Amino acid sequence: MTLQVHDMSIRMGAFELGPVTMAFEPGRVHGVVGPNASGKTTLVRGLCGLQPIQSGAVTLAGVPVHAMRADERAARIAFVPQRPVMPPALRVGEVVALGRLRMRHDPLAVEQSLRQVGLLERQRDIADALSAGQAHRVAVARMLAQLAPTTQLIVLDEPTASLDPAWSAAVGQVARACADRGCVVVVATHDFGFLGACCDQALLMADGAVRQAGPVASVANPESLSALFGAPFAWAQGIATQPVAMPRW
Amino acid sequence: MASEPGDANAMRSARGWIALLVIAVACVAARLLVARSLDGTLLLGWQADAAAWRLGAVASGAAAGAALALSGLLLQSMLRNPLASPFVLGLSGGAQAAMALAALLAWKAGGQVSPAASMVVGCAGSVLALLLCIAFGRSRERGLDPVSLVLAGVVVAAMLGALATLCEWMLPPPERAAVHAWGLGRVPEAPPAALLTTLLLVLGCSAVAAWCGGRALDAMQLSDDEARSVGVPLVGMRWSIVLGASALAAAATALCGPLAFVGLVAPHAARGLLGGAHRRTVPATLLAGASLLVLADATRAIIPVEGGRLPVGVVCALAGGPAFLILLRRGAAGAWRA
Repeated sequence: MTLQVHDMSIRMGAFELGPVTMAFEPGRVHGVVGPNASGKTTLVRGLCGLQPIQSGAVTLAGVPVHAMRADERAARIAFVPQRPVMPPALRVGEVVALGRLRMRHDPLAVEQSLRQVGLLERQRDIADALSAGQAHRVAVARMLAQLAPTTQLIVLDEPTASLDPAWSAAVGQVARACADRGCVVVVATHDFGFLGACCDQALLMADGAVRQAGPVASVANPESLSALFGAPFAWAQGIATQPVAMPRW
Repeated sequence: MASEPGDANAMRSARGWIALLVIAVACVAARLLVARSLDGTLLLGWQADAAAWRLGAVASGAAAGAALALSGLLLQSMLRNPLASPFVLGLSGGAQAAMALAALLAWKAGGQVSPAASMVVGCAGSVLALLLCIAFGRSRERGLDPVSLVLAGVVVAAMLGALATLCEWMLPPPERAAVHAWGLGRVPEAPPAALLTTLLLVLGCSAVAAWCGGRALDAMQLSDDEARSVGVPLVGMRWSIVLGASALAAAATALCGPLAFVGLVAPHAARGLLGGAHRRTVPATLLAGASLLVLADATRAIIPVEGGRLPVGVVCALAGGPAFLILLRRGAAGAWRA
């Protein structure tokens, strides 16, 4: 169930990403970090087949993701975007139920997903009246509702950008739980606490290229992050079970 | 305690359906009980000898109104644009221009356009108008911007209106008068069977498809990435909607002429009463659109004008214009993102 990327390159106007060649192992949470406009979103969209690629291939358990039909992709891949859109006049529960568009409607699964993100009591509220952080939690709940035994890849694009620390930790636990059930989990993030606490592997990106990849503790060190972001980083103690490099103010 | 919000929602939904049904019955009753003769005399009350005519007008108005409303709902959902409607985006104008052009070419060739051929030509005109709007309403930076799309629609509709007027002007007086009356909008009291049957067929197929694909239509209002990630085949769905919305607009236009704003207002009324889920909104929009056009036709009969009867297209434009302006202020402010 490995996600294999072979010589993937993507062109979007003047921006070019890649070529990228690497493997994402199941059961691990892979954190993608890098400065703004380094290509994190383009990379993760390419991994789940939402971004057309110019060359190369991305395969999930041997199946090219860019050749998957819509229903096959939904069965294998779940995605939470950087800026989720809440449709007008739909209720929170109805938006979360869209995660099960290609499955049997299951109100209990929807309720369970909403409970995990703390929005069960808001399920009958109009979704586009929610705050940005709550909308992000709705998108995470929709991803949870979409999970099935066939799910192999979960991609989260800056899932904690609008969340308070408590819900950032909760989303981290969700990502961890998805990895523990055997999925490949890829998270683009600027949250170094999340990286240290929840990720096993780190990818450092700059200018459309993967600069370094490997275990978080060895790759996301103060020296490499300082060079990547052009800002000072230092080891922080007591944040996670593994050493975490944090920006120094 | 946990069931209270659910009960409240069920009550709200039930109230919405009851309101829609009461309005629909009132609109039909108004059209059946009010009429204006060709010489301008107001006729009130049930008249058995005119029943067939009035029932014909109700059937024509309900079918065309429902078709325009469903076309508007599909366009608003596909384009994530609360201002989209078959009239605003030039679909009605495209059908009108194509049908007028076909009538002119047929007259030049010494023949007539059959209702079926007229509808096919009208559908092609609607598709062309919609694709032109999408092509010119899209920008690389902002995608399909709601206001740019509407502006493109205004320009496309104006050009197609000019083409229709040119074709009409080139026809000889008898044909010109018929095309002119149709272009002002009218709900026929004795609808041609072929046109009404085709409209009902297109409406039935589209309504069933829209209701069955209701959850996919809900998901289309997410961002493209989200819609695709939950399993919506976006390209296929969009082409189906372009063709379906165009066929609905063309069929309604063939029967009643180009009618403004029914396709804009009815989906908003349905959403306001029953929420945004398409499994509820599709049937509610059909009912609201049918009621609106039947009501407009009844209103037309009530208002006295010099020289006989007021064209129903004028009533639709006078009533729908302010509704569009209100939505422009609310919707373009960003309630829906393209």
